Amino acid sequence: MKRYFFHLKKGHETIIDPRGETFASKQDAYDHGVAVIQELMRYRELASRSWQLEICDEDRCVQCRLLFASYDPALEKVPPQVRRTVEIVSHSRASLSDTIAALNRSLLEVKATLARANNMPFLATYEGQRVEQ
Amino acid sequence: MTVQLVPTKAGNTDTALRRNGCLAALSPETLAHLKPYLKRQDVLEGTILWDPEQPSSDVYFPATGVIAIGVPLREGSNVESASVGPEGAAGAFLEAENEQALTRGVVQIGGDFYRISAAHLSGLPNREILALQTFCKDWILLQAQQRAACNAVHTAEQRLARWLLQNLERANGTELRATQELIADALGIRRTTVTLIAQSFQAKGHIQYRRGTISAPDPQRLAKLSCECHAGLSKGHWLSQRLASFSGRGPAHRREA
Repeated sequence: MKRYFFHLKKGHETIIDPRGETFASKQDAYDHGVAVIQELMRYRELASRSWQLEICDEDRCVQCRLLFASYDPALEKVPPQVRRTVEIVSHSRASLSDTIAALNRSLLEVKATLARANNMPFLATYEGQRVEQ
Repeated sequence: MTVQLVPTKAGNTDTALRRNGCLAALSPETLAHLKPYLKRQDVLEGTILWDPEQPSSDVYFPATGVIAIGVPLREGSNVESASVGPEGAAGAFLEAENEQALTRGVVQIGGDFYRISAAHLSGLPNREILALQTFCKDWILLQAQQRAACNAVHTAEQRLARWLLQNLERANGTELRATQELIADALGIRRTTVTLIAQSFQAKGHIQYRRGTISAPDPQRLAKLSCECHAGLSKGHWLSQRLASFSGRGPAHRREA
């Protein structure tokens, strides 16, 4: 049995699963992740298509990243081409959010470095973690 | 498996009994009649109070804690259709007479309960007791109707906020002892889903979660995340308030007095 963690990437926000769950196989962890996606996106499919669920192993290595749009039941009945287009757009939106989040973090780190150079105090957190000077 | 209840030595003072809203709403005369038969007990989370195979002959009045009422299904799950805390009572009188019991009552949040035999309760056929039985059934029906609608259209996030608000209100708005597993069972969703939503609520300051204790610094903020179903089940609609008005012990009557 191995422990897997399910982190949610929601726009610029990353929500960490601190506890995780144990599963007999990677496939079981994947199935659990898909079920969690379906519970989270139910009745808010349109707003959550660009969210992602990151499944990490015990060493916190990313095993897979699941895009919500790929599991949207509302898209099951649309033509495959349309579905693919929605997935590409949702994926691009998710990538843009990741980039903006990385940029925000870099900006905070630059501010922290500048503050340290000027011997000024600087205290900031990003997603619950302290930004180190 | 049904777990035995543990009787406690503490006495049945009126102040202690009145921690349950229904008992508090009864007139002193009716309460005095019931008092010798009310047994105070500590009940632990997970205790099965009744189920279709072991119907209860008792009625439970939680002073603290919550009973979840659900329908046990073949695959082992117990889908919750209603819950009863210090605002109400549940047990034998909820099932239709001469009918096979359908529901299972499980202690969702452990606490102090008062137990009385249904025979003793119905042996006092005054209008307050009849009203109590009717209002308790109405309360369960109201929740079942609300939940059916809520489960059909509201997101997991809204339902979790509603569940937290409802149970924080029962705990006088302060702190609530509940594990994420318990909440997941109550809402019929996975524990991971509850963890992710609770982490998001905590990051935004809507709740504080520490070692199984949940508190909401500002319940109004949590109310904005909840669906409208919370308003229909909030304190103003509690069956204990209805019973208090019926018995002439509601806030309006007290002001007049």
